[in-house]
Amino acid sequence: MTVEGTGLAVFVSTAVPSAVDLLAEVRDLAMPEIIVSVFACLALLVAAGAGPRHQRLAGWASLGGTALGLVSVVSIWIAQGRTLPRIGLAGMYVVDEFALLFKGIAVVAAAVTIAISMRFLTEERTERGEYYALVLFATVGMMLVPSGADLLSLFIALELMSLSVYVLVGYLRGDGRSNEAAMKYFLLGAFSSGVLLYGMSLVYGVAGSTRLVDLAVALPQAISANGDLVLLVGVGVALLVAGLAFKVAAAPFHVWAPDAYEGAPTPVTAFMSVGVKAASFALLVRILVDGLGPLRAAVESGWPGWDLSVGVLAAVAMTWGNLAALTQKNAKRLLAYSAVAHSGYALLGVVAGNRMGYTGLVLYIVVYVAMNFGAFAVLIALRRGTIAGDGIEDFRGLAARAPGMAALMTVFMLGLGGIPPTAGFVGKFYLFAALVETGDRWLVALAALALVNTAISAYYYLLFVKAMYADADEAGAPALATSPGLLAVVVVSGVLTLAVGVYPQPVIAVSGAAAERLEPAPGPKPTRNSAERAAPGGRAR
Amino acid sequence: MDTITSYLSSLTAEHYFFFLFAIVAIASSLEVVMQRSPLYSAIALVFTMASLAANFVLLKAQFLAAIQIIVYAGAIIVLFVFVIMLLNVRAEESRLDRFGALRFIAVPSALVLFLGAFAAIRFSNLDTLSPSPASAAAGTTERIAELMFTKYLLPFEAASVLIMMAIVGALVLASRARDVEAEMAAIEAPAESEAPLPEPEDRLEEVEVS
Repeated sequence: MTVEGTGLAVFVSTAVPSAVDLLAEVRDLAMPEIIVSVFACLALLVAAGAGPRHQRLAGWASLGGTALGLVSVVSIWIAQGRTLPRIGLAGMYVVDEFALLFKGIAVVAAAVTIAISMRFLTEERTERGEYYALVLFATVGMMLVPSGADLLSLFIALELMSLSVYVLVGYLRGDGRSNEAAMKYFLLGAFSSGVLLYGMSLVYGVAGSTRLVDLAVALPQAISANGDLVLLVGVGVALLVAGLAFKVAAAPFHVWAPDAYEGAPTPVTAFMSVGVKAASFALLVRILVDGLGPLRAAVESGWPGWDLSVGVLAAVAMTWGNLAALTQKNAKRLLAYSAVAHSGYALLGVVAGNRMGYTGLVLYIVVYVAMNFGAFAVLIALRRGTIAGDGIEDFRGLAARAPGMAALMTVFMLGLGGIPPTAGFVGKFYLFAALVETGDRWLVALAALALVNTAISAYYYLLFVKAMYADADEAGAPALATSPGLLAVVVVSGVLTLAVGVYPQPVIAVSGAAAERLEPAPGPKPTRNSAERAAPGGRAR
Repeated sequence: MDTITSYLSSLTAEHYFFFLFAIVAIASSLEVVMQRSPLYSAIALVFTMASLAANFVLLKAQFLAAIQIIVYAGAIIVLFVFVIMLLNVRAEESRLDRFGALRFIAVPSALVLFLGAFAAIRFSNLDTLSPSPASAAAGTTERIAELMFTKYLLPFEAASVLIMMAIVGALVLASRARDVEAEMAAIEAPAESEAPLPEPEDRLEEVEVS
């Protein structure tokens, strides 16, 4: 298709049909992203047109965009379900159930964030339409990440998400903590992107392609042709794992998380701990499982695969996150450390690498969205008037003032702690059972460590419950700052947390469908195949 | 000694130019971080960008090299220098001294990373890798335009959304500073009880820019 000297006619006759094809492909595959991008621009226009007192209109426009985006995602799943996975746009973009589920999570996360932001921003006296546009831009990034089939598109999508969130973290005017958090998050985020990019460049240098499917073929081939290359690939994979660990905030690469979570406006903290975390896990799964899947176990004798480093990361993240959370007084900071621990739990699914593990990973992220959003929504309602409302002591006597809210908060805390009959228990059960199912001695030990960690975490989650029910009310504390959107989020999250805990089959079926195309680890363990057939994720299909 | 002379005789002019520009790039980027005066840092950055552009030429990416010079060395650094001069930023006093202990962690970590990357490249026998065929036409404007609108359409479009978002983000963060000033003024003069809200005309302008 090079432009020859023969003139415009040749160029038009070749370029126009292919451009039309390309546009049709974009329409078929990337409609949800297009809708959300258009509504982000619309929110900007509304913000500009509406006066300073009507900025909330931009929020409503953005909510409409997320609703249409969700409709688009669901309709692709229903209409094209049989033809999935579809790879398009010159191999840069893949639409499969995994991508669609994570796109759905991103859109829902954006909608919830907008819903719980409206009253909060009024309380902070900083309601501006650009805020909602930035949430939608971040969402576009989060929707592109799980569809990335190429290191390049993955990286740009990641940066689109990250840059929007850096700005959102620093959104609160005149709040020193918000500014400091944004600066720290930006610097460490840029640094971790650099680490990730360095790893990508080394891996690309060996494979000669940035396509994930090509990496999966070319890397093991290159190593088997020339054993010396294992060092170069090893450094590249190590850098990739470190960069990804930064993004999912797995200890010891989590140092940005507590400060960023504490300083950010609380709705943004919720957005980060749910939307950004889910998208980061999608990125991790795409790169490690799709791209570097064959390097999971040792390729060359004497060199461990990435399963060892991810397993160590999971163990360290769970333990460090839970132990650090024990000492926290600030609720946002505590939830940040709990998010570090939850990253560790979710990584267990990748380490297990079997069908059940992948199902558990997706399932865990889905239920984590509901539980965490509920908890943060209650926290946001505590921010009213002159009360910052983000300490654990702010929960004192909540049961007397707002019994319904306190009851739902108890449900979220039990869910995050993984106590039945909540959704958190189902998620943890899948992840731990997947480890035991592999039959590997070390992985079973890891499951035991995870169980111990669950017990530790129950202590600090129950601190909230104790504060709400056992401690005395603060004298003269004003009522909660709620709004219809926020109440809806709390109630729906609470109902989901309980409903999934009691009747998990539909969510397990969806998670199993999303995880179905992820390549399982080829293990020498003989029991693997029979166990896989027995896994409910497979049964549900 | 023999190995060194035989190595030197095997080098072509391209190698010499590569080493020259690589050394300039590394030295000037060290200067960017280590200079106390922001103006000197900005000027050192010009050298980094220019030597990177030269290395792009050696990699047969002429278009990229030209863009690098025009956009980075030309436009962006000049903007940096303007801002530094307009704001009259002074040399920053060293506040990093309180992190002195961290140096004992940072320097060995950097060394480990460098040695790891060095060893990986040095001992990996890279000759077995078949380099992708880079023809002289690979880096021309036509070729890049074609790739950008076919193979790399998605990253290109995503990047354009990213840049749009960056403009909005910069405006949000920059206009925030103005709001803080307004609030400070309101605190100093109690007669003005409320900070003035941004005027609607002002907001319109912001969106036209984006």
